[in-house]
Amino acid sequence: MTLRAGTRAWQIPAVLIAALMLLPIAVAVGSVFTPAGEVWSHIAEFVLPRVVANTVWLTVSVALTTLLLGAAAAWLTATCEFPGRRWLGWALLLPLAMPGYVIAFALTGIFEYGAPLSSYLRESLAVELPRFSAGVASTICLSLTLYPYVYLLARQAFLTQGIRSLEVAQSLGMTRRRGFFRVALPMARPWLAAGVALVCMETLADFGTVKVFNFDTFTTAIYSAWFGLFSLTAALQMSVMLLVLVLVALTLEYRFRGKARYTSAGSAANAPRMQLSGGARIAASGFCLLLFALAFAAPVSQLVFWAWNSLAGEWGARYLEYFRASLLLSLASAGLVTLMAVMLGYSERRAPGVITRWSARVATLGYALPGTVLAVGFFVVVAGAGHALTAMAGWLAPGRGVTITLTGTLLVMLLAYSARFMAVAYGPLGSAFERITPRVDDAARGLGVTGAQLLRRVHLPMLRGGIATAALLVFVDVMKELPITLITRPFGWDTLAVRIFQMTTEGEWQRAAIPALAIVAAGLAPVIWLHRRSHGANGHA
Amino acid sequence: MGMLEIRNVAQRYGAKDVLTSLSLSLAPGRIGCLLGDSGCGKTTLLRCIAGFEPIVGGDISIDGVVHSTERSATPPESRPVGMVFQDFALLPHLTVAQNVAFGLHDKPADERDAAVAEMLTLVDMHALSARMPHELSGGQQQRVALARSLARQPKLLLMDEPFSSLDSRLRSQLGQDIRSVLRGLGMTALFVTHDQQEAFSLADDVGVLQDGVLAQWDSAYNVYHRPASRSVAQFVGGGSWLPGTVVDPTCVRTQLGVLCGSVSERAVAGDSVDVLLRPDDVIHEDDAPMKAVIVDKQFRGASFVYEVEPAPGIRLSAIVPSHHDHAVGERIGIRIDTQHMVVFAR
Amino acid sequence: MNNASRAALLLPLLALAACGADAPESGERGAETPVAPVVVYSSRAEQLIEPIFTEFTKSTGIPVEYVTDDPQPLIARLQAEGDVTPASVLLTVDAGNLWFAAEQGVLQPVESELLTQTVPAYWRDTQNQWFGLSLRARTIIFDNRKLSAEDLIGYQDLADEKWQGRLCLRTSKKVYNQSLVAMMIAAVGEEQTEAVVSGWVSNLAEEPFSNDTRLIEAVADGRCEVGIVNTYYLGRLQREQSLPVSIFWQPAEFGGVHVNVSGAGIVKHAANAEGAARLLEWLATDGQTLFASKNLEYPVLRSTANDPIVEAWGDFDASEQSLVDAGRYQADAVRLMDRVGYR
Repeated sequence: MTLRAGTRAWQIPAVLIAALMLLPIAVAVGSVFTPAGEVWSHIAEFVLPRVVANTVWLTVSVALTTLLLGAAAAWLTATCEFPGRRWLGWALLLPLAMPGYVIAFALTGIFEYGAPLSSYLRESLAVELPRFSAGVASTICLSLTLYPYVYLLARQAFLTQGIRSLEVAQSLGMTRRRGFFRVALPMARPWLAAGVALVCMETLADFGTVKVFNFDTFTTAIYSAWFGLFSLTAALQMSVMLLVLVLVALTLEYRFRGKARYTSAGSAANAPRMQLSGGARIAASGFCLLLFALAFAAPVSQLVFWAWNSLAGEWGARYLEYFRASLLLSLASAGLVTLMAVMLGYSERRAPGVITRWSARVATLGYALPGTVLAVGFFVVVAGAGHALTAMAGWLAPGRGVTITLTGTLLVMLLAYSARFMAVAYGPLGSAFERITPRVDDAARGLGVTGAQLLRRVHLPMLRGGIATAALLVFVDVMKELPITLITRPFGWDTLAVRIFQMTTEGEWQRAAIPALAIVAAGLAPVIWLHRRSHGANGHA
Repeated sequence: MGMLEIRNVAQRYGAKDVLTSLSLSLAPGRIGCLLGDSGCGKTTLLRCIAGFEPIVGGDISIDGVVHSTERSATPPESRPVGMVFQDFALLPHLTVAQNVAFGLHDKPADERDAAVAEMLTLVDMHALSARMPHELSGGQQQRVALARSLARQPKLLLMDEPFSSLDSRLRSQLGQDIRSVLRGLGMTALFVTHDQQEAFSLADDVGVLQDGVLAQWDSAYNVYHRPASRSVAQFVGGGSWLPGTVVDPTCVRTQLGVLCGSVSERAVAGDSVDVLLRPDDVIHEDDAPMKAVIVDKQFRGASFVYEVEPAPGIRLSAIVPSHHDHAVGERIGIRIDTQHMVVFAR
Repeated sequence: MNNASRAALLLPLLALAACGADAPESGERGAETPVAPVVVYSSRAEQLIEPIFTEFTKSTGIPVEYVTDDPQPLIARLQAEGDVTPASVLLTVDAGNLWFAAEQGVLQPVESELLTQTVPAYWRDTQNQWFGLSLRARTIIFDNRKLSAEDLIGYQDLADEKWQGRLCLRTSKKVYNQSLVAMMIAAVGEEQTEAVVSGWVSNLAEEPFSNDTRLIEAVADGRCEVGIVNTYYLGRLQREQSLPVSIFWQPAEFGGVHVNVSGAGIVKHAANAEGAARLLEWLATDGQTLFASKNLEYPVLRSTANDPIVEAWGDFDASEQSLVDAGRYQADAVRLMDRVGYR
């Protein structure tokens, strides 16, 4: 495709953003040229076979489970009418605010062998709770925290076109059931794919949850190479393998999608929800309630119980500081990351082609890297830049002893968050961009609305839903983020997640309940706000 | 017996009546149109006919088979009905040909392919059968949507605001194309619109729906010239109201003199009435005895629409061939042509 | 790109640069005090160090600032920062990490008679780049309803088949187990160690646990009879309830009890090496009680008083094998455990 010169200029922001996001990854890629020696032969023989199998198994099972849970819950709450549908609609989003490892330790606290519940069942009813293997337990916990990604995006799709797609199918002689599988699901595919892609990347990068169950994955092997075998080089090289894996997956997904670019088949603002029959109503309510209970109500109750027990020793004025730091960082990075993602998506749209497409792909890679690897990569780059600037300052003003330190500044912290969470913002925006049909652009240009005006007056309003979703996801993700926060935070910027880290490194899970609850609480407001917003945008929904 | 028979249908959302005791009949091969403002219930009626919504009273039958009553409803997929949605609702993940073939899922492949080819040829879209919907213009999408609905050979075709998202030039051309396709197939069709020009140019039978009540169901000509109510008259075509008194069954005395023509039969001498003067009832003739001041004018290409004041407080619209170019403020001669005089008691 | 969109690109960056400039480069907490602060990079959790630093500042007037993280990222950070690092002290758990930090050249030798006299040679670096400051004993616990101390001999004996289905272990990914195995490799050689660890694995009653607390609870629940844990985890649980779990100390004749340290060293490019040395000396002497007892660990200065819970476990003979071995053989230990399938 040849592009006009004016259009080609749109490649610049995409490439710039991609380059910025690539910095930490470049450190990892650079490691490929350093031989890691005998460490590798050991890893290849004793570690890789198991962790690759485990990782693939975990990623596939979590992807399938979240797809099933997320799509089903989204379909029910978006298109059907059943008792509790209204509050479940937003309540099912709440697990977004829960870090995976928190659900893991809370659910373990409820269901483990010595816990009151299983003790009671065993002693009074002679019922033994099933003991899950590490892999299954990891799948359950990861799925319960990650399904909201699929749910959130699928719900957007189903709210705007769910009922309508069924009606189209019915008007063409299909039953509702058939229409759901032949029309509604395929039409929601870009949203489902975006959600599942986020889930997969999050699963690949997860360390906290699998650690609780001692399940060996690629990520734990990376840490093990670094922390145990003392080989950061081998750890970085394994990270590059992971990245290649992700790139291949993303490319396949793109190929697979092929020409089927997605534009909505119209909105059904007038379509009433489906009234379910008696049994189906109960089943729908029951499914959503159970999901909510397992993913949110039960773990939160356990946290509240623990928090109550540790309240006296743990609670204090410092929590205001943690809360403030978490909130400020999350807000600022939500704004920054969303802005960059909009620019990325916009560039891709204005100058479609290989350059912008790969820019977007590269810019979103950081999500699949284990957080600590990304954090260290970023730190190394930034520290290097600081050294270079200091050297330059010394050359410009000899003898003044100017040192420039970039590390430990908020700017660097926010950029590191951007490198990590670009994918989170880009996913929902990408789908939203795809919904703006070329006709819309043509129409606007026909009215003399071009360039920045086109963005501001046409695209931004149409993207509003995507932008809000993107910002929310980044917000809650930064709230939960740990490794980058740990290594890049300036003095005095301890967040709630850092507090959890302090407690859990010493195995004091119960004392971690208060900061964990605070994270959940801080995530509630934006989640509810997002729901309200999407509610209002969809009429009487 | 009509292809579509609607008897006393009622629909309600919560406490709000959306359709009230609505009846109409559409004969086979006829193209019907429901005309009304947005929110009048016309789309709801279409959805009830298609089976997307249950009804709370009356019944709907298609080709002699009852499909909706207040107690039961055939599911949409089991009705011999095709539907073209307002936004066409093409399936974005399928090509043009796959969209058309979509409803033929129960047919053998060769039969399906033949039907698709036939339909695409019918709507003149055969060359673009491998395109994706987002690569098509609005008019092309409309043709594909039509082909998709017709491919299943429905007995009744429903179209919801079929031209509302198209530009006006395309609209009339496409309208005529679609009309000839439907005629060629002898298809019975019902569409809804808020645009009376569209209704008049495409439909044999026109219904005016106001607040859920079918105010009139008649030929297009009669709806315009013999409106059943003041509000129908106002909605269809518009015009000016002139107060007057009935002189005899054919004449009414007004400020502009005694006007004679076909007056409603129930009119009794002495009744106070309003006479509707349509813009085409007011004729401009330079030497006519009645003079009126031009207060406004609009150029329409082939004609001007003048706003004139024949007497203080009385304002009429007049359609005048566009070679009669007069300035605002000028006095011109007018004549009232009362062949179709629409009169309603005051 | 037109002006508006260019501005859209630049503005946020400028705004952020402004935020960045606002942030202090090395903290403001001590900015008003004339005494230069000591900046500590710590992998010991905040709640375990904060009260101790407060006490240090109270008695010496030297303020302390700290950043907490995992040890390896902290070492990587020190390397990346090089000579502009704000840090003066690296404080971390596990001798292996301290050894690795010295190996990476981020620490410097410390000339302090006080430290070399207080901390026995086997609990510090051979070049005095780091010093153990508290002892963490990793020992055997047993279900005292089913077993008594007479049934036990030591770590290696747990590989005997009589323990089939009765042993619980924590994951091999925890550095405490890596050090335990590394020290064993140094003491008895790789071959014998491999036999022992592989024996442990075949004796496991359950999959390895992700932390010591879970392991202790499993013993208390009767799901396994013996296990290997750090004593302070038991101490924490015993603070809240009494458990049917007792401690066994491997006698000196079999090599004594495996101990690890949490310790510290002075950063090579320390901004405040003098203050750092003061902090280390204070921690090794006046701060001992607080530093060790805060976490129910053992002081390196063996004369220091212990918490009553710790006292109740009785005295033990700590291994006097140099902890440098824990670092030197850690990678070998990890590989060994991978080989025998100890997860």
